Amino acid sequence: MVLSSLRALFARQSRLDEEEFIILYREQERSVYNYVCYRLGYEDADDVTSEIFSKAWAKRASYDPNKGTSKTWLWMIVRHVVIDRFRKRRPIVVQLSEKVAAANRVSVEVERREEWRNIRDALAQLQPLDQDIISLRFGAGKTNRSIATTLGLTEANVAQRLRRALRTMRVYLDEK
Amino acid sequence: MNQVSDQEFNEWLDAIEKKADMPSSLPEGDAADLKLAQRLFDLRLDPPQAIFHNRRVFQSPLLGRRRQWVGRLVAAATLGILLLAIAISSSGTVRAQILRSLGLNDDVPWVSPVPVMFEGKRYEPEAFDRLVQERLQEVDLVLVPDEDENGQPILYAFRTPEEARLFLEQTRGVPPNIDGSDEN
Repeated sequence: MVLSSLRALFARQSRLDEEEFIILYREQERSVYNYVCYRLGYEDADDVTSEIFSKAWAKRASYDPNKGTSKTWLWMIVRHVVIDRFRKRRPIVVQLSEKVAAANRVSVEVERREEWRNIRDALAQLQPLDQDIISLRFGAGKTNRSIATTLGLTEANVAQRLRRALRTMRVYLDEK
Repeated sequence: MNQVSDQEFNEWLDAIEKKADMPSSLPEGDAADLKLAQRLFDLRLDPPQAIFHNRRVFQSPLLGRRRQWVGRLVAAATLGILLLAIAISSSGTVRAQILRSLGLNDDVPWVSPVPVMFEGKRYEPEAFDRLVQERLQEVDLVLVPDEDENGQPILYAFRTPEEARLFLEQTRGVPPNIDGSDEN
């Protein structure tokens, strides 16, 4: 009896309740969405962001506050889902024909896709670690310190790599 | 080439993220890099409406009830905006813009350069041209460029701007600022 009460108490403490989950969702939704735009592309970002939060919701009982904050827990799920998508994804894509490219100007949506495609082409020039640093800084809006913690680097190392990565992307986009 | 230290560069990066003006005294390369950074910061998007809808999955019944009245208001506002959009498009302006931007007008025969989706069926360009000649000569088709599931260009064809608008709403969501439910 005592044991089951303790178990119930522990279960309550170790999971994220619904209110907490909704607060976490509101705080992090924009960062997650933009991170996914960088890592997997603008076109897939809706679906993947939905998938991430659905998984997080399903797994919220596994959250243990003794092991870190709910944000850290969520971002582990984010990175797992993104890596999983990388494994499954199809090869990309496509120069639109000139005529259709002209037709695309009708839609802001399609222009936005083009912008993201350019950015992601530039991102592809970087090493995977630097791609992640750029995505976390500009997509997720994380600070260098937070990125350093996430990736197990020093803050100075992040600052240096971020700067070099930006330079590589800029030179690529200038030449394109 | 001269350049600022990593630390100084990253301090500028933080400042630009907070919308500070671009410094004029930086070396050319650094300034160009920061300009790209500014572009990347500006690119950050609000998630589209579709995800806001999915949010309901996460809400408890109690929260759902609390927000039900907000949902009704939002539904009414969205319907109003859609009706307004349809009213605007019925003036012909939107349709004319779409047709013009695709190089179309009533007089010039036109064959799509890419496959066309029409009424749930995919047509190769020649087949769609035959369909137009046989059945759709009197129809001002509205075309929406897109990509198919393999990332290849494709056109979606609709009989009316309203159908095209509905398609865009369903596939791409409505702008996030229409739904204010989560701000309450």
